Amino acid sequence: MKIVDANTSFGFYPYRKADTSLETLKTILKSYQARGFTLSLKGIFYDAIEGNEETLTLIEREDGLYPIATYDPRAYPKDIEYIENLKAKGFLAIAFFPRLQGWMIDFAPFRDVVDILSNENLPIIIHTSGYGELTKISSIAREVKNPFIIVGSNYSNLSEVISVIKKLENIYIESHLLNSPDALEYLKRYASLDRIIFGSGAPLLSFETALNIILKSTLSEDEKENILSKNLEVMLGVKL
Amino acid sequence: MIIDVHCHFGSWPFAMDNFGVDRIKEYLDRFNVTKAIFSSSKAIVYDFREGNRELIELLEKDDRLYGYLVLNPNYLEESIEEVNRYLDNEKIVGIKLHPAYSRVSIDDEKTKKIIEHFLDTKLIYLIHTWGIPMAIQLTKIARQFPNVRFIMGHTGGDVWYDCLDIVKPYPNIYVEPCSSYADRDKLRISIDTVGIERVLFGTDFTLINPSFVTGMVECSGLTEEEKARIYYKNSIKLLEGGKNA
Repeated sequence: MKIVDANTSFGFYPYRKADTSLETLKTILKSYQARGFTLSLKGIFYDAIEGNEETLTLIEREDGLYPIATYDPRAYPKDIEYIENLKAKGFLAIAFFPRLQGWMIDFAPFRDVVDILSNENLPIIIHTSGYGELTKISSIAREVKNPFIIVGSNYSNLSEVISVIKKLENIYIESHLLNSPDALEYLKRYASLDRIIFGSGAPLLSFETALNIILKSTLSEDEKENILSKNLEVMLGVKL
Repeated sequence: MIIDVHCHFGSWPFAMDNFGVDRIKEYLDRFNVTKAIFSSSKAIVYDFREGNRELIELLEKDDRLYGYLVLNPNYLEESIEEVNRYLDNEKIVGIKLHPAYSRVSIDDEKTKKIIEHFLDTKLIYLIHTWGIPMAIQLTKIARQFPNVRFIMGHTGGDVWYDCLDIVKPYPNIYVEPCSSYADRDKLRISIDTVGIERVLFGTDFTLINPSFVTGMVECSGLTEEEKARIYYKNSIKLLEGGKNA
C-alpha cells in the first residue's frame, strides 16, 4: 500500500535533545517504503527563507521527499516576495506554525499572506490546536480556493472537525493526532474520510503510531489506502 | 502478552462513542491485551462513589478487567470508607488520583492521610502527573512513603523529558508513557533514565487509541526483552507485590 506522509520535518530540535536529522527521517521513511512532505526546522524556529532554501538544497525527490515551504507572519512583510512563486521554486505546499510561534489564526498579517498565496492556489498546511482555531480557519478558507490541511486536531475538538469539514470542501485533516480509539470510524459515520490525509510528525514523533492509527482501524482496505496516499494525490491533482 | 495499567471506563465529553463492555473486549482482543486496569471516568470528573460502583460492575464481566478505585481527597472520610468498602474485592489493585480534576495537589495533607491510612494494604497508586510541579509533588510523597508504589501517569505529559530526571532518584515511582504525543524516543529515554524495571505499559484507553503507545514501543529500537519487560513483565512484578499477591 502506497504511503505518503504529509507531515515530516528535519533539522535541529531546540526544545529538548532529540535526533531529528534528515538521515534519520530518510531511514524511517525508507523502512516503511513511504514518501513524505518535509521541511527544515530552521524555517520554523529561526528564519523561514533560510529554512526554505535549506529544504530545497538538502532534499531530493529520489529519496521520496517533497519540499514544503514555510513563512512566519510575525516577520511580514519581510521577504514576502519569496512566497509569491513557491510552485515555480518546487514547493508543493506551505506550512504555518501559529502555536509554536505564538500567533493567532486571526492575526492580520497571516490573512495578508493567505491572500498572496491564493494567487497560485497552493495548499496551506496549518499546525494548530485548541477550541475555535479550526472554526477561525474555516472563515478564511471560505473566501479562497486553496486547500487547507489542518494538523493538530485530536479527540478534544473532533466535534469541530466534523462540523467544519461537512461545510467546506477545501478543509483537509491530517491524521497523526486523531487519537480517540474510534476517531476514524466516527469521522466516517458523521462526516467523510475523503479529506483525511496521513501524516506522522516523524522523526520527532512515532511513524509507527501514526501508521497504526490507520492500519489497526476497522476501515476497509480501500479507505485505508485513500487516507495513506490517494486523498492527498487527489487534492494535489498529481501522482506522488 | 500485554498488561495495560492505565485504562478508563465511562463516558467522555468529546465526539466519541461511550465504550461498553463489548467494545472494550473487542479492543482488548485487537491489541492482544491480557489484563487491563480501569478507572471510572465518572469517578474522576464527577462523583467518585457512583463511578466506582459502576466500575465494580464492569470488572465482573470479563476476567481480564481489573480496577483502580478513584478517590477524591476533598471527601477524606468518604474516600477512606470507599476503600474499606471494596478492599476485599480481588479485582481492585489500587487507587487512582487525578489532581487536575479534584484540584487537590498530590502532596496535599488530605492525600497523605489517605495513603497513611492504607499503608498496610499494598495498594498501588496511579497518579495523573502532568507538568513539572506535579512531578515534584509526586516525589515528595514518594519520599515520605518509600514502601508505597506510585505509577506516574503520562510521565509528566509534554514535559516528560524533564520529569524523568525529577523522579529518577525514587525507586518507588514507576513511569507510564501514555499521551497524545507519541514521541519516538520517549521509551528509550525513559529506560535509559529510570531503568527498564520502572517503565510500564499504559494507554489511556478508552480516551486514547492504544496504537499510540504500542507504536511507541515498537518504533523505539528496543530489544525483545525490553519490550517484554514493558508490555507485561514489570507489571506482573508490580502486581505480585500488591494487595492480591
